[in-house]
Amino acid sequence: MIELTRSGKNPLVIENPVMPAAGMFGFDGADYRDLVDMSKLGAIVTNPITWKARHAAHGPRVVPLPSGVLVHTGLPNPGISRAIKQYGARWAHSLAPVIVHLAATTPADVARCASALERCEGIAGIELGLHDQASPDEIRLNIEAALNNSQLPLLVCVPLYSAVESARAAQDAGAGGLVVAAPPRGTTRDLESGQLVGGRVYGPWLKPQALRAVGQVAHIAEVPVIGSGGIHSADDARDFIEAGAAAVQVDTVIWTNPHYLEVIARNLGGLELTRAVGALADEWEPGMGQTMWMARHSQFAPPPPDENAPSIPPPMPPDLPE
Amino acid sequence: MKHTQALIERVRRVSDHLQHLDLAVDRVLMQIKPGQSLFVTPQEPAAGSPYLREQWIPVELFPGRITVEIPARRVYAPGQILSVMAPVGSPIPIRSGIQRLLLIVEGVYPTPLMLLARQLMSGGVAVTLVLGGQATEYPLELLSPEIEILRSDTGWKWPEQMDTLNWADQVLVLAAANRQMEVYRHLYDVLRQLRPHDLPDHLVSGLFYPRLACGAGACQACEVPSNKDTLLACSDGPAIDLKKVQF
Repeated sequence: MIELTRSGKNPLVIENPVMPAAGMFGFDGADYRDLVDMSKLGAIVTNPITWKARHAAHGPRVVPLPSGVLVHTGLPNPGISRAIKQYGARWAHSLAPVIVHLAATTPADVARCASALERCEGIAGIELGLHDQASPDEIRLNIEAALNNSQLPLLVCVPLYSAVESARAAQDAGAGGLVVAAPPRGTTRDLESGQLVGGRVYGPWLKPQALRAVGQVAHIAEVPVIGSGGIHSADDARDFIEAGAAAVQVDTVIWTNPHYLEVIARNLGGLELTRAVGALADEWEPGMGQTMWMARHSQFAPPPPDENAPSIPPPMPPDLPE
Repeated sequence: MKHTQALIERVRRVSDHLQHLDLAVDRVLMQIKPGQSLFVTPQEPAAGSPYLREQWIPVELFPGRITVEIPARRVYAPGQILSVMAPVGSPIPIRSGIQRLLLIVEGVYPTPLMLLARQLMSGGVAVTLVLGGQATEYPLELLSPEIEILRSDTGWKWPEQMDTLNWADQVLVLAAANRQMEVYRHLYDVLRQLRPHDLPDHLVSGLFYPRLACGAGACQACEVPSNKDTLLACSDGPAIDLKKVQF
């Protein structure tokens, strides 16, 4: 068992140290239900939620980089009330504990959101996402707003480039645990539209910077630290644990290879399957995908290719009622 | 959505800017419908490979094989193994009893509509394709000879425009991302004026192909502005009824 927040009345305890980072896995993980076994994850962190609904940003939102991606979604979400209505039942029955990520817009909005979540079943904790320029005072006010309106365990996600100062302020204000770190912002030109686009930047290159920040924060932290930033393999995740993290959050590799999330979780959770000598060849293993699974099941093995085979009659698309 | 592998069997350069890749695929992918696409990355990415998966659009289906049409600038070779997540998106909704389909393409190649046109024509549906801007550069030899082809001018007008819009049982519009909303709104307004009392669901749909990050609906970066519910190009699209779009 891994404690993600300081010991106390309501500590947040998980069984596996691996979870998706906010914004990567949707609001309940349902989009990846066919590709990831949720029961193997330590927790699910939702997409950022705000008091009022927000629509996606205008203009280009996804810009490829040489080794990563810049993303500017504008934090689209249905607002806390609709989110609870829409996802509350699924959160309550989730196979992994659900941590709701709140974007710390204003202390008043954080207070309302925390209060709404307090009345919602099936929430394991709150993760508060600070904006990049949050001052120690703002951090304190937002954390107090959350703590005064909810008994739920509180994690605070700090920005990468002010990780130590923000972590210190969050810890002093009563944060139960720290997520280090939210990815930095950057600006790049979108070649498709010709526009300059600003947003958060992700990719494997982020890992050394995040790892350093985790080490620095772990050195001063009196609460558990969750490492995040550029993790693309189980070895990457282990580096974060070695640097002082109690758990890790996996980011954009979920988009490029969703099954890696489960592979990393199984590896760090001691759940990885190894094939014993003489074991049957049709064993499932994490990340093997549909192709290999079918190949190992003779009755589903694809027929040998036939160059002269006639083309199948094209299926008609589904009809809609008039 | 499934995660599978595919093998590139053949690479054909079909024009200066386009190539066709024949992919040997698992039978789970043979259920793919017009409008749905593949989310692809090389199984063993080489240095310089794109970080994100790419959206590949099928143009022909054969038993155990899918042909996709992609830009020629990317280099692929027979024998290469791909990691494929599919299907991305929902099938393009087709109205019941449709006899006449109008496809309008502005500023991009009509690749996403080719499989649908082929399948509907084999079912006896008459298809008219209006090409404008860069779409006129699409190699016509890749189109079925039974498709009627018209060309639009820079103001999205073409010969007998009102007649063709009135003639169609269903209209699908595909435009380049930078002018998408402008084109879709214009055509939607024209159709509303033509049929003020009768604009049934799915009479006119726009196709949305933003650059995808997750392709699964998780990141919500492909949200299409809508009147009511959240609509995502990657899961609700690519075809969205323009009645639901907030212009």
